[in-house]
Amino acid sequence: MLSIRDLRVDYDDFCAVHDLSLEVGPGEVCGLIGPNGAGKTTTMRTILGLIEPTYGEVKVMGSSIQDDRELVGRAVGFMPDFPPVYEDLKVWEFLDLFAASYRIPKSMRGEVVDRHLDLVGLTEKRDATVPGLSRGMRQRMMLAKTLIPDPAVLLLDEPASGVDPQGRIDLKNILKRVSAEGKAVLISSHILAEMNEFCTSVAIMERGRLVVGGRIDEVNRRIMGDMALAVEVLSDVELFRRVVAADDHAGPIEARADGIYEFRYRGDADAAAGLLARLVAEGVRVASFSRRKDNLEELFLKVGAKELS
Amino acid sequence: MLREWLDNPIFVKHLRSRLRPQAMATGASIVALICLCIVYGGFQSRPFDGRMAFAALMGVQFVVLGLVGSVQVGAAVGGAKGTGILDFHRVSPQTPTELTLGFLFGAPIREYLMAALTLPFLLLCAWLGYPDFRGLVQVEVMVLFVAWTLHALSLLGGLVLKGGVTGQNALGASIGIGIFVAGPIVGAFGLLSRLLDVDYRLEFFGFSLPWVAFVVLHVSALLAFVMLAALRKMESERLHGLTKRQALAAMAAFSVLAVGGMGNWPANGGPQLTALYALTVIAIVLISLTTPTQAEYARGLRRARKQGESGPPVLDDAAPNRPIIAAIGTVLLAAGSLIGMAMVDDPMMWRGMPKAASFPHSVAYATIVAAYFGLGLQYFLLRFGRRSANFFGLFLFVAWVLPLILGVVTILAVGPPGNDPRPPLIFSATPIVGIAATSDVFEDAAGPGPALVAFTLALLFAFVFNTLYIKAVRRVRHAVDRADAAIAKPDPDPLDALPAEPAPA
Repeated sequence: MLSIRDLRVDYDDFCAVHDLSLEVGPGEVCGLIGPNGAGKTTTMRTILGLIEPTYGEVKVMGSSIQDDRELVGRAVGFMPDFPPVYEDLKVWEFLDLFAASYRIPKSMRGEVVDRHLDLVGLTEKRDATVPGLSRGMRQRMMLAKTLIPDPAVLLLDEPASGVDPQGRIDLKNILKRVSAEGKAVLISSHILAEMNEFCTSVAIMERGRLVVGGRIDEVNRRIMGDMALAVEVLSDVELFRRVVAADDHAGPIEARADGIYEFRYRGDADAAAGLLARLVAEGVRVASFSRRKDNLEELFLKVGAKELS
Repeated sequence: MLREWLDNPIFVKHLRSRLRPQAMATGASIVALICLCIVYGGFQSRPFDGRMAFAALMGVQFVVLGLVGSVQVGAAVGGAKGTGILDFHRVSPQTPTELTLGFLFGAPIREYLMAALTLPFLLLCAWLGYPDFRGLVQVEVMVLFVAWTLHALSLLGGLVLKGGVTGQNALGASIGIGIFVAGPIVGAFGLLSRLLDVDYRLEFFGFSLPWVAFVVLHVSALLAFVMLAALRKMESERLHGLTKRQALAAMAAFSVLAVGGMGNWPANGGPQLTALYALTVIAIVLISLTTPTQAEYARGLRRARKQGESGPPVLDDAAPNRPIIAAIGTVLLAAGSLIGMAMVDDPMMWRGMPKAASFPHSVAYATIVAAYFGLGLQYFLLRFGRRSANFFGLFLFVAWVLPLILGVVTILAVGPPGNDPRPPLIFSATPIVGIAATSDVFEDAAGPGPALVAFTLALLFAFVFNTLYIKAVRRVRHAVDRADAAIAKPDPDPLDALPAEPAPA
């Protein structure tokens, strides 16, 4: 769906993106992670054709952004962190403007606008003027605008900034839905915990370069070299600690929450099953034993810290 | 077709936002009341003074449509650019033409309607005797073309200027225009009304045209190239206003227009000199539009090298400007020479007018000035990057403005130029006067000295900037080589240094 090859972008004498290659397939939600100035926004704006790359190729649905701008315009939806809006329009007028821009027939525009207002929870603000909206509401309105043309590729630059908790839940659900519909999503955010919940792949950028990229579990395995286990223990914690410490594959135990203990585990699934069996056999009362979802924060801190050092 | 055009999203956006009843009613009431006052003034003289009322009404119409309308266009497109929402339009399937026309006709929609309010009053003037219907149509056509050109220039300014134009600026400009410009404009329409008394005609390459057709021909050429530049800037901020080919075409077009109209003024050097000044300014503007910055040239170099070339193609936006300077300079030289051929020394002409025999010197000098301006601009852009505007501005002040100031100070000290040769010599150091000075306009006061001063400085600057240009191009090439060599060194894989084994339990 989205393919970037050998992309380089220069600002004056500063190389903002250096030989970046990245693929985002259908149904994939790729988290673009990196510190400020890493080149995330530049990458997104280059994909849109707003910044001229020094060289390299960006293809959307097989078409180069230089060769077929109209197709790319229809296929790519972009939402920036600070959504620019027309302050002299009403909410429905703003969405109608972009529905018309994306060639939605006049007869269908009213229905399309209302449907997307409902999708982002702004129906009651339909006739409000834009200056009367909070930042979060503007962000929702911009999300509706982004979704109106039903783009195959979504570029979201800090989409959750300024959005209230309900808005974040809505955003998460919308992203899950568009991913299930087979759209490709490239999303940048500093809220890694949230990205953890809906990203299927990750691209970590640092000083314009792609440090590491791929499916989260693969990247995690490559960098962390192991998995994280979370065990809920109801009693005999000392016994639990002794059994785990005796296992060669286990790392140091950390108590996360009430009765829940986490530790890195380098063994495979069979070894983990063996550990669980030993715990139960020793008499440790285990309420839950699970592989903890790979954590983007830890991943980023490990890679980012190394790069920054 | 019209239905599709009226569904232009940007146009519809402005219809909605600018025609909200309250704001529209206020503006319309003000214009209608002003028009009523003007007509009332016309009726105070017996019989009805149609000439005065017509000039005043046309003045109002021009201020509303031409000036306030152009401020609105600049504010709309500058605001959209400043907030970043223009980028959303750029990445939508809308074409640059749709966007440009949407802003051009949508942003001043309220001004179009307010200008239309003056029409009943103008028709009343025509019905009461002045002007006739033909004259009214002629003036309306001219006002419309001039207004469109101003709108297009404002749109281009909104796209090019960094800060854009804000609504507050627009309001301030409107007030300023109302106070300081409206009076002269009404006066101008008073003069214009005299053209309507006779069927005034002008020649273009021997063809006799009505004056309005002659004006529209020239204004249309300007409008066409301004729109071309606006379309390119609307498509992408990073594009130059005109490609090098388009700039050359623009220079050729304006040269043809200048040469074609010279037959109307054969016996006096003034129009020829004015045309030469105008063409020189156009050449300088076109060279500026096609001169790449340091970053653009470096990007072009890298892109070309990636494709196995040594540098960007000569006519690429990123290519240094010397070839286009040569091309535009050649056209300027040819056009200036043809204009000079239409010149005949008038034995009755007053002292200080350009001489036909010396006019080729002015043409050559103007060409050298355009060339050294372009070479200098390219040198400063390549050598100093973002700081180039400061340094080049300083150079222009010293070389072009300072001689004017010093000349005025000298005149104040020694008296009028006819009494002392020093002021003409000092004035001639700047091309602003130098183009005229090389036509021997100061010959009586200062002999050949001013022309020598002008030529010496122009040739010196041309030589110096050409040398510096070559060095600056080389410098950027080496800088790109060094930077790419540094980047090309493979970085250690950060993952290699990460521990693959978990920490011991």
